[in-house]
Amino acid sequence: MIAYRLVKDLLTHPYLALAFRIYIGIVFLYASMYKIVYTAEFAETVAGYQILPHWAVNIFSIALPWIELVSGILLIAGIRSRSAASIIAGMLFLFSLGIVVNLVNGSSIHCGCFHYSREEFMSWWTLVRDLIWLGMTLHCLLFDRIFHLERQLRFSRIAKEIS
Amino acid sequence: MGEERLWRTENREGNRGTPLNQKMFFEITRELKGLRDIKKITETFLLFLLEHVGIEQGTVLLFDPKEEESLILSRGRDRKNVADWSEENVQSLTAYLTYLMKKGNDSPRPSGEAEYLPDLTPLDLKALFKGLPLGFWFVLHETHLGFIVLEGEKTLTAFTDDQQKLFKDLIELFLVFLERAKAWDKVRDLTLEVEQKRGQLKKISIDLSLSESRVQFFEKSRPRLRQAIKRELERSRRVSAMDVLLIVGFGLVLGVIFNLINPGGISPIPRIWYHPSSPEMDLPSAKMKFDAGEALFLDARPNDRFNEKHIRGAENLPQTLFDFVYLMKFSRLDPDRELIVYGRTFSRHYDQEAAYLLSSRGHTRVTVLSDRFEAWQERGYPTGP
Amino acid sequence: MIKPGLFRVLLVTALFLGPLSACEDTAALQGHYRAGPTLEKQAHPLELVLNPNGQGSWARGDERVSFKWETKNNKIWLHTKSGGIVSGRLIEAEGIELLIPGSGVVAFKRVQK
Repeated sequence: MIAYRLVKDLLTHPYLALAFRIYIGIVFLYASMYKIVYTAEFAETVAGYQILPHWAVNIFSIALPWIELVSGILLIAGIRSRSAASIIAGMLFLFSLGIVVNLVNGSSIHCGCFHYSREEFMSWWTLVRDLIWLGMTLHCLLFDRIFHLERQLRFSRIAKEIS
Repeated sequence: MGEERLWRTENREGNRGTPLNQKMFFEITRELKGLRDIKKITETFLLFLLEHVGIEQGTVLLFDPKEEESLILSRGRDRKNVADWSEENVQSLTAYLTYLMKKGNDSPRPSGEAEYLPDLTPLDLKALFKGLPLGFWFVLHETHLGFIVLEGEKTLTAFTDDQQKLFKDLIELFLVFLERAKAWDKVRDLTLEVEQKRGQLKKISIDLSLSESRVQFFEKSRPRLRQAIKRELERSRRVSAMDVLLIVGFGLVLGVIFNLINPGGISPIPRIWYHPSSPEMDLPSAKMKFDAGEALFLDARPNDRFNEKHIRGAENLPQTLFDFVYLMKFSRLDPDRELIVYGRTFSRHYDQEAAYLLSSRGHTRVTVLSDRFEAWQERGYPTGP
Repeated sequence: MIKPGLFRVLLVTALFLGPLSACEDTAALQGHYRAGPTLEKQAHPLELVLNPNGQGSWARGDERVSFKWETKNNKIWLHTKSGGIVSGRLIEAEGIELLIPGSGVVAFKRVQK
């Protein structure tokens, strides 16, 4: 009983959520860099998944890295962090779905998550990794509540108005 | 004037209550009634005595033991000022007066009554007076002690009892006016004080009402502030659809702008929408061409897809590496050679894009397979590797 | 004192910029390369030019193709505008081998810096 409570407290601790939040933010910030610099290659990777129709591939490839970048920054800074975490969770869910579809179809393509030089062909480990990240993001959604720049700014604004 | 000098040897009879005394009291009252300044009253009284009662010299000392202030006024033939009164003289006199007031009597002295001082010897002030002075001392409103010395001519004998009585009455009348002047001073001081206090009170009242309204404001605002803080906290905690839209929209805008200014940017809309499309060939026709060996089949898909499976005998010309591969392998190809390009996927029309590039390189007989490779495969047509 | 949130943003921005500056030194690879078993001049040999700014070109005769290139751990990648990647490796004695889809491996030797 005590052990259960201890584990529960540990797993739901806001500092753990903070650590996850910062980590996921950094991961997505880093991941966006390659995609922003090599947009055409990222578009080819997206096309390789064969999930999006041909008219949506390019616009998706143009927008997604910047959404990742903005979400990552917001997550790290603690501004609208829940909304940013929701977006990232959504992206991870879609990526995971895409991986599952392609693995089931037997496609051997690159994930397209990071720089080409760092990646092997996608595998079930890629899926596991994305699911772990998805779990971390959901943890942030549920338990994160400390060190938000937004709250500090809001409260200082309210305090100024009161005074 | 001479008739009013009582101590002349040619004095008349019946001094007390005589018409002459009454006139004197009337005169002094008339002179003093309009005065409010103590110094002025004292001076007027002394001058009256000098003029009407035959006094040669008169000196009044008023002493406030609490404030330790004294007023000395002297009028007469020889001295018009009190230069001869030294500090020491004043102190010894005031000390004597204080002694007299306290002597043998715990109850307060009646105000406005003059007491005859029979002997001025203890004061050791004889050197200051000429002849045989007549001294009176009095208490005024329990706050002031007073001393009057009246001096007659050198040749005069001591004052008679009647004279002393008269002087006492005159002095007591003088004291009435002094008291009145004191009362007026007090009233004036009190009035000033009241005005000041009223001003202060008004200011305090204004400050109080300001503070009160401020407190009321905060009291009223407290629930609103609490709600505002709660609302802000909630907002920062919840997931907002608007926030999601804003973030996605902002990312999209940034991406489009960056793509526009980036030399390596890509077209947001498919190029085949604005490039002229190449003629298409259906599968059976393509199969006939294949069987006849007339056309060169070009697989425009990425190399890894080509390596998995392709139309037998086809060459790989990945659209993404078109320039490289064309330069390596196909730059010497006959422009009139018939080329059939395939490689369409759900997410990319590699075939149309590659066909367009081939046409722009001068190839005249370029057609595109109207269906995907998977369809060729499903029909059981020959495939490689 | 910097607020925690602001500090975290600055830290991550520094991390963001860090890897960008951590590219390998490309100076050694810059230069002019020619494909072929020997360095003897051929009619329209295939030529590879690697410029200092990460840009490069691939040419045969008058035809030229430009790309962006990067190198890491003895590997090299050429990035085309249309999204393709040609990978290769660095070989000793100033050479580069590139794997061209459909054409196999093409070896280049440095002609001049």
